[in-house]
Amino acid sequence: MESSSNEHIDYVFKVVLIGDCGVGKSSLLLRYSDDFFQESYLCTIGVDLRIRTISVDDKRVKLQMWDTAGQERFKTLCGHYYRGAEAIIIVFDVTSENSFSNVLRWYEEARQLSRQDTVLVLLGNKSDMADSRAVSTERAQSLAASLNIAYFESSAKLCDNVKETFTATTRKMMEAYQKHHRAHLPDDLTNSKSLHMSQPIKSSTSLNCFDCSIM
Amino acid sequence: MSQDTDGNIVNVNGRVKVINRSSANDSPNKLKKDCVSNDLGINNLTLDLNKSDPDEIVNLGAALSLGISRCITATSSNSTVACSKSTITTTSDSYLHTNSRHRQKPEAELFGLGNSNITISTSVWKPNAKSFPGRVLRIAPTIVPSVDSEDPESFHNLSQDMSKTPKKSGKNPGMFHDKSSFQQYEESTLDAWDDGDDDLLVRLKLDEDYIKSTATNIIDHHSMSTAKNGSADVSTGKASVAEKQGTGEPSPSVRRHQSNGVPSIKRSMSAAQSSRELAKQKKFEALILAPSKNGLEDLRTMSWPGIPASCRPITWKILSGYLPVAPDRRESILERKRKEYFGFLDQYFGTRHEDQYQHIFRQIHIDVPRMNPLIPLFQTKLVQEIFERILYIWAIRHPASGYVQGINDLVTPFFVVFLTEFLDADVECGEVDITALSKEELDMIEADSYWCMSKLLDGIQDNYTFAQPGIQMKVSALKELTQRIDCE
Repeated sequence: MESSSNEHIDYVFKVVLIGDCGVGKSSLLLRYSDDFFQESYLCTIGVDLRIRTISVDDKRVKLQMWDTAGQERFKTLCGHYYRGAEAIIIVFDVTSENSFSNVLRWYEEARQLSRQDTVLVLLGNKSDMADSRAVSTERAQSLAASLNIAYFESSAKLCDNVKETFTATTRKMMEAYQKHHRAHLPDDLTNSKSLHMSQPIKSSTSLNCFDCSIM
Repeated sequence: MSQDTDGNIVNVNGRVKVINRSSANDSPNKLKKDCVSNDLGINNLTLDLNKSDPDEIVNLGAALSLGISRCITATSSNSTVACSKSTITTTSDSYLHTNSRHRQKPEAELFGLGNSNITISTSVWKPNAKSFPGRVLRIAPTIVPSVDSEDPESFHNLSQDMSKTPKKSGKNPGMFHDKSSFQQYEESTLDAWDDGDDDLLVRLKLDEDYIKSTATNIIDHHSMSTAKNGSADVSTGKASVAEKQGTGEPSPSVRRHQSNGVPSIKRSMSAAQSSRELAKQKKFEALILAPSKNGLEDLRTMSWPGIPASCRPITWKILSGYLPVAPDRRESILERKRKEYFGFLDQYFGTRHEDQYQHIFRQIHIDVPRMNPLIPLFQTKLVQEIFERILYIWAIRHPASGYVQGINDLVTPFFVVFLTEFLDADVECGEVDITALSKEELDMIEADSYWCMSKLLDGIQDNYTFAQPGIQMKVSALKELTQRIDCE
């Protein structure tokens, strides 16, 4: 944790990463939260959680980032985690056509299970592997445009554009938050609205979290 | 806040439950009922087990397993084992020997800890924070008996020692009625519930580790005491308690209070210990070679505190149901089963690239290299191929679930344990050069791992079938439990 517990926090946002198996969801989070990359990383079972506090436009924002398992079988379980998310990042692998063609399915699922004002983002990972690239930036961009969501491209391995993606997503969440006229958070935030929303999830999933995560 | 001087249950606004069990007049059933009837759940619990009948404590432990979160403070002078028993049953979210007050009940009183001399204070809540529940700020000069880890009795007698420790304050302990000593306690502790509670979320893993290490300590200790009094009755711990009650001599304490707050039992392999280990091993070997009437149950009970490494492979095979209890049939069954597995391989493994099955194999193929990335053994091609075969054959033979991520990790323990059969005792398994083993040996390990993993999965298959009903049920059970406990 980089923030001390009594630090002033303006927003607490829940971000969920979804997408096919092996596209690099865990690697992205590991890179973003711990600035670390491992070539072959543990596969995620169920869900995993990472937290990072950042500053965006003079606001302190605490991001609760949920990492989900990509395998089909876990969809029913992971679906529970979409609820209450301020943002869902759909990740695909730019070297895998298959993971790109599944983006639409992930999108529909995310739309179905999340709130209306949830920010959706499309993220193409492994941009460092130019040689084996299967999905061009243009194609991904046009898909994102047709879904009316933002598109980013990153490389968790080279730490390229990872931070920028999360910062931009955070900015979008702040905009969405204000747009929907949710009461502004009091300054002495420990009981923020977001926190309250997260509470039921916290209790119902905590066991699941350590049961299923082999980190 | 009220204090029931009869030592019965005191209910504080339905939120904090304090059970002062110094009176043994109430039946455990009543206690149990009281626990259950408190629909709001129990958040904090103090037990004084000083005067209770050990049987009752065990029962009480069972009652408590109905749901206590966060804190159990147990002070006991004569029933450590029984108390451990109760804490084992509640390990889901229990912090043993942690003194804590509920965050919104600053006036809530804790009983049983009248003097900071006897405060056992450990916490995992905020390891780096200045304040955490139960942190003792001001410690009166405490007499901590010298540590002698070689005496298994010493842990038993820890609390006895402590209650016998001369009180520096000069006050009569009057443990549960001494207001000023409570105030003393209260002043000397901090309450860290106020802020950053959400941080707890990310500390779950740490908490779990703590629970595990505590449980291990208890189990280790338990096995030591069991070995000592030569009783196989580990299921109730009664024997240990009974023996315990007979001995009144104070003995040095084994538990230390370290600055990091995590209790640890210093362990060193003394001659006495290794001879105990040897005796235990002999007992296992005897039971494996000549099973008693209810051999499986006996073996299971005996295995609970831990199986000597040399007996572990065969014990696992028997307990998983792979090998029969009757020794004379084992050889033939092993042979038949191993043959059967390689028959499956011939029959099915060739299908892995067919359209119908390639997605299964692809998933296995990308997961296996991601297993245990830091252990060299699992990065060798030979081992990875063994895992691929085991997982693929299992998946293809269990179409309702197929391969689901996580199943791979269930093979690992079997594989490693069966591998140790062919290694010297002091070899570090993760570093071993597996190519040194013969093909026959590797085949045996592979087939045995397959069958044992298969037996294990038979019991938990609904965790892996569509929509994972097994997991959903557990999550909803947990949800119900947390709702009862979190009355907020």
